[in-house]
Parts: sequence; structure tokens; C-alpha cells
Amino acid sequence: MKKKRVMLVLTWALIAVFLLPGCGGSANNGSGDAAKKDSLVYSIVGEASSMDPVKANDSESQKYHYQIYDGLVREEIDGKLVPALAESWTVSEDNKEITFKIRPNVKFHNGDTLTAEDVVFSINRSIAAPATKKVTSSMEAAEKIDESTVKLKLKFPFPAAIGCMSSGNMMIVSKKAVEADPEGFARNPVGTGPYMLKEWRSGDRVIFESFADYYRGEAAIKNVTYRIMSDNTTAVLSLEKGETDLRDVLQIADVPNVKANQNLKYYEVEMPCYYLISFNNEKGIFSNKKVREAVSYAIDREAVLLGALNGEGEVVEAAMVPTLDAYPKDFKANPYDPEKGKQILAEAGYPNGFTVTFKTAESATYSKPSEIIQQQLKAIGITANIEKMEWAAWQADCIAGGKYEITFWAMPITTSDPDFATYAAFHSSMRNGNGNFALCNLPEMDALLEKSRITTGTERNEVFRQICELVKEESILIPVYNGRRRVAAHKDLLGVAASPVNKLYCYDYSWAE
Amino acid sequence: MFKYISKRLLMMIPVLIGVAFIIFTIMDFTPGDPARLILGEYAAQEDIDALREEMGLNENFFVRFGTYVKGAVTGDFGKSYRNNLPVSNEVGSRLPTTLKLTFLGMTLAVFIGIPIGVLSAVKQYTIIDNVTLIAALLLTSIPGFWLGLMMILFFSLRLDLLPATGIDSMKHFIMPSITLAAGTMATLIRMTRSTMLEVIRQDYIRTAKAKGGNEKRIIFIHALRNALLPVITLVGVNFGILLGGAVVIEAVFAIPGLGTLMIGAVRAKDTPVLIATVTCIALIGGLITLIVDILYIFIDPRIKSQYVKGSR
Repeated sequence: MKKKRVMLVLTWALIAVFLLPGCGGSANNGSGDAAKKDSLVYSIVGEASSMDPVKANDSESQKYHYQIYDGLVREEIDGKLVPALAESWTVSEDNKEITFKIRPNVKFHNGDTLTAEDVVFSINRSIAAPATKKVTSSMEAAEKIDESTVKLKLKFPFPAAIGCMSSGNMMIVSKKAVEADPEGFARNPVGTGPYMLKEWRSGDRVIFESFADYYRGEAAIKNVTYRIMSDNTTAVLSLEKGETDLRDVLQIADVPNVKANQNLKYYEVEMPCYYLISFNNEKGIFSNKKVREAVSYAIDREAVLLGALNGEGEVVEAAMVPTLDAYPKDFKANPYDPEKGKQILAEAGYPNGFTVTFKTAESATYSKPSEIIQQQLKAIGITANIEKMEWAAWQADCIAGGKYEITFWAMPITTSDPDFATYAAFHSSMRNGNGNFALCNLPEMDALLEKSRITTGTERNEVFRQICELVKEESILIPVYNGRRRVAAHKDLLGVAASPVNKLYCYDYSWAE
Repeated sequence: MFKYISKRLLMMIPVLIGVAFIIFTIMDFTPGDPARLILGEYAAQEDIDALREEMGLNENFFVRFGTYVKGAVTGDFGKSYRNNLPVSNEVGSRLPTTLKLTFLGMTLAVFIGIPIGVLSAVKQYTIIDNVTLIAALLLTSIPGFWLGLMMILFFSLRLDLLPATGIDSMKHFIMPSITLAAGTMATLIRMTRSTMLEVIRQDYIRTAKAKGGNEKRIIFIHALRNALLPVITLVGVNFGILLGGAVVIEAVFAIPGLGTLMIGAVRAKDTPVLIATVTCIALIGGLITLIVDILYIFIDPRIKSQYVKGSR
């Protein structure tokens, strides 16, 4: 028997020797391909559902669109709007009309020249499409004034309309190509952008080729391949191996590895977003303003940030996206004071607290902070039972249906204008699944929102400050923190930066000599 | 024989319809609206209703199911809700990859697992036996994604021997197949070992040894052939499991296969794609089971006699 024991131990030792190399950090072994100068491999999380700009409105699909299309206006990665297919534009006195001068001699991928008809066609097509409402809700119609001028009429005065024109949904398409094959256009796009779609292997990769006649000059990198990799760990491994050169979504756990790797460079920037606790302001226990106010004193923002993102983010106190100019400086939310929270709860008629269901999406981005908030609510006497729901189900209940009491959500914006973080979120007409998920219904708020649409300049920022004050006073929702956008790239890839607006233009990249 | 095969094939049809029915029902009962998922969180309710009408989602359950089956029988499996492409294209482009992966994995599992099982049984209680038993235990317990990631770390990054992700060449399939085969390999090792141990103890083996037969011939032709029946059953069953269960492997190695398609379809509530994928897997699973049953005939003469005409 002793012999068998010894054998067993030896066997385990043998196995352990094989497993050991797997532990410990990964030695860098990236294969340095010098012949890479002409190509870029970008590992992307999701696959585009369609290359037609008016059919897909998720940010993943738009990452593909930004390579093959241009809009009238382009949003640079610092948020500035610059002329693209429109050389210049003028806005009318009443802010209801924008007149664009179309750039001459711009070519489509199929050799045709861009005309005012293509612009009018693209804009009107977008306005009519159901998937683009978020961006086109202010637009009435576009009309051709002459061969190089197009006028866009708005339904109401809207200073942010120019920003909307840079959105992926407003990209200019070839009228001829769309009319020739309306269904097939989604797989065979024709745009004016720096890259053309060369090949699309479903689920595996999308290959782009540079467009020689691009109006700004041909791109520095001739071949761009988007490889679809949903798993974040695999993506980092393939970056380290050298199979891919760029990744725009990183887990926090992978960041130290990327930073330590000699062949990679790490970039990060604050996201144009904030995470918040939302209440059902209309029905249920949180329709009582005092109850909401009590919760606002129970939240320790630093703690939630620490638990959710390891502190890699910023605390947000005002109900406004912190990367925008309109974010009110030195705004302070109700401070962390659980005693006061308990007291207000008692005043509201719940001295012994109450029990409530806290619905949350199952993804860790939302469920992790929910659990921390659950603890903080417990401290003031509220017992929150967390109900993790699958994304579609949670969306149906909380975002669209108003069937919830309290939940954890985010306010991302895809166009850099504060209107997108306020109007749809707080205007009473936007309930019923149109964006007002907190079911806010305050005439005072409606008035401020409408005022924000017709005010310009620094006065407009003042109106947004008042909106934030009102959100704080009524505790409509509680902003908590903001995260960061992370990008990792090969060290020799120049021109890369983490984009707060999540637009990575491959046109701007080149390889170091 | 032919009658038997055609009967089995015909029996698969109600099974497939049943599978489609179950998926249809489940998708119907789960919350979430494909139209809303397509148009985004902030789409207007009227637009969502219009799209639902266009997609035919407002019809009665049986009408929708009937339309689907009618289309499927004529080869039209509908269009994906998510990207409006014909479902047969979507499934067709990924099926070869998944089949390749599953076949490779299964081949590895069979051709490594069974001989090791035999070896283990013949050399019972020696160090070889212990090593294989522990190895089998490890292979079953190690989660697929961990094994996959460790392999990438070791063979791809450290040793620079194999490519990390994708499906561009046969080299790309090595690590995913091994990872996929791991669990089944372990089961086959243990199953082969235990059936072999049983068989080796039988009288007819002792007779063969007494007759002075070659050791190898006794093990492989007499013993193994008898031990193979339960093992082959396992192979058939596990094939079905591998087909559907490659989702994790596909995510880890960035392989565009059926598993990823299925998960994506569930998330987007893309019923046509989901039904087609699951039915496809059910069909292949059914065919493999049929092949396994036919293999029995060739392995075991006792079973053969039941099917061959004129032997009664």
C-alpha cells in the first residue's frame, strides 16, 4: 500500500509540473511582423446587423459605418464638430432652418460624384426610418435649393441639430445604389468614406479596403480588418500575441496586463455617460417625493464606484453627462448621511422602513453596483430584494414599460449635446417607452426643457443647471458615477486615442516607421 | 435493413417539428420584443407597433407557427429578425465550421480516449492506471474556458507554436478541438476502462488466452469488440452534446460557429434563427444516433441477426 501512495504522490507531482507554466504572468511573445504596414486588425466586440446607416442604431454597428460613410458634419474625437461633406452651413434666425453648402468633387465608392440629390435623399430617408427617431425627432425634411445647396427644415427650434448631423444615422448614401437594390444595400453599401467594404464573413470578420479617391486623400493604412471577438480575455490575449492591433473594450482586470506589456499602449478617457439610480416617479412607493429624497441621502457614491469599477471612474453629482460643457461646475448632490435618510423616511411615514424589489439587468455592469446600493439602502431601513433579469426582459419592464420601483441604469449619449441627456429623459411627453424611464411628470421641468431648446450660448448652460437643480430637489433620479472608455493598441500604431464619443476613425491611424 | 433506416428517418420528422414547436413556445413566453430590440430603447411606440405588424408578430400563435412550418418544408426558413438575411445563409455559413470542430474534437476523444482506456484496464493498478485516472478526473473538472485560455497563454503566447484565435487554417483548429474533446475524452477513458475490466474477466477471454492467442489480438479483437457497445453509445450521445455545447469554446477562440449564433439569437429574440439552429442540431444529433445504431449491427453479430433477412 505504501508503494501505491508514493506512486500517487509522484503522479500528482507530474501533473503539477505541466500545469505550472500556465500560472503567473504572460511572457510577451508578440510576433513582430514588419510587413504589417499596410494592414490593421481591429478586434471588435459585436457584429454590425446592417451596413445601412438608417437600419442600425446601436453603437457597435456604427463603428463599422464610420469607416465607410461620411456625414455632412463630422464629430472629432474631442467632440468638436467640423465640416465634412458640407463645406459650411448657416443657421436661420429662428433656429429652425439650416442651410448647407455641399462640398464639390466628392466621389462615391462606385465612382459617381456626390450631388445635392444624394444628400436630400439620405436625410429624408433617415427621417422616415423608424430606427433613427432619437436623432431625427427634431427634423422635418430636407430640400434641394440648388446643385450645391441643401436646406434642412426643423420641426422646432433646436440648437443641437448640427450635432445630430454627425450621427451615424445621418450618413450620406448613394441614392442610385439604394434605389437599385434597397434590400441588398445593407450588405453592399456605397458611401463616400475612406474605406470600402471588401468582404463580410458572417460572424468572423469584416474586411475593408481603402478608397483611392477619398476626398481627403487615401487612408494611410490600406487594409482594415474587423475581427469579431466577443470575449474580452481572448481579445487581450490575441493583442498580446500580435494577431490583432487594436481593441476598444477592456475589462478592468486586464488593464494591468496591458500596461505591463512592452508591445502595447493603453489609452483611457471618461465616457460621455453617467450611471444612475432610477425611481418609478409615477406609481408605487417611490412616487412619494420624500421617500426618494431619503434614498438620496443613503448613497455613498465613492463606495459604489469602488465596488463597481475598483475606483476607476469619477463620482457624478449632477444629472448631466460630466464630459459636456453644460455640466454645472461645483454642483453638490445631497451628501451621504444615512441618519438623515432614516429620519426623512420616518417623516414620509415609514419609520420601520419597507421592502421593495430592485430590478436590475444581469450584466455585471449593472448588477454589481445594484448589490452595493442594496447594502446602502439597508442602512436606512429599506430592504431591497434584487431581481436580476435578462436584458430584453429588463428593458421591457423598466425602460419601456414602467413596471418597476427602483433600478440601476445609465444615461449614455451618442451626440455631444446636453439635450440628449435631458429632453427625452425628463419631458412628460416622452413617457411610454420614449425615453422618460423615470416617468417624470412635472410642468416646471417641461418648461425648462422647452426653454433649453430655444436658448443659445452660455444662457443655455444656465438652463441646464436649473434642470439639474430640479432633478436634485425632486430626486427624480440619483446620479452616482461615471466610467472610463479603455483602448489598447499596438505600440507602433499612431493616431490612436480613446474616444469619449466612441468613434475610432481608422483613417487617422498610421504605422510608425 | 433499408426499411429500418427509412423508418428511423421518417420518425425524425415529428421529432423536428416537436423541437421547433417547443422553441417557438418558449420564445413566445419569454419577455422581450424583437421589434423593440431592433429599433433601440428610445424608439417610438408607434414605430415598434408598425414593425411588429410588418414582421407578422401580431398574428395568432398557431398561424405564425403554421406559416413557419409551411415555409420550412419548402426550404424557406425565413429571414433573421436581426439583420434580415435568409436564415439558411446564416446557418449554412457557420455549420461547416461547427461540424469541423465537433468532428475533430470527437475524433481526438475517440482515438486517444479509447486506447488509453484499454491501456488503463489492461495495466490496472499500475502507475499508468493512476495517471490516466487522475488525468481523466482533471479533464472532467477543468472548465472549458479555463483550459482554452490556459492553452492560448501557454502554446500561443509563451511558446509561439500555435495561433491564438480564428479559423484560418487547420493549425487554428488544434487547440479548440483539444479543449472541446477534453470532457468527452475523460468520459470515454473511464467508460472504456470499466467495460474492458468487465470483459477481461469473462470466461471466453480466459479460453482465448488458454488457446495461446496473441495478446494484442485478444485485447483488441476479442475484448474490445465486446466492450465497445456502451462506449459507442456514449460517443453518439456526446456528439449531440458537443454540437450544442461548443458555445464557450467558440467565444474563447473567436470561432464563428452555431453556438455563438444561437446565443445571439436568444439575446435578440431572433426566433427564426434560433429554431433553424436548434432544429439543425437536433437533425444532426438524430442522424448520428442512427449511424451509431447501424454501427451496432457491424460490431455485434447478435444484433445483426435481428435485421438481416432470412436469418430467423
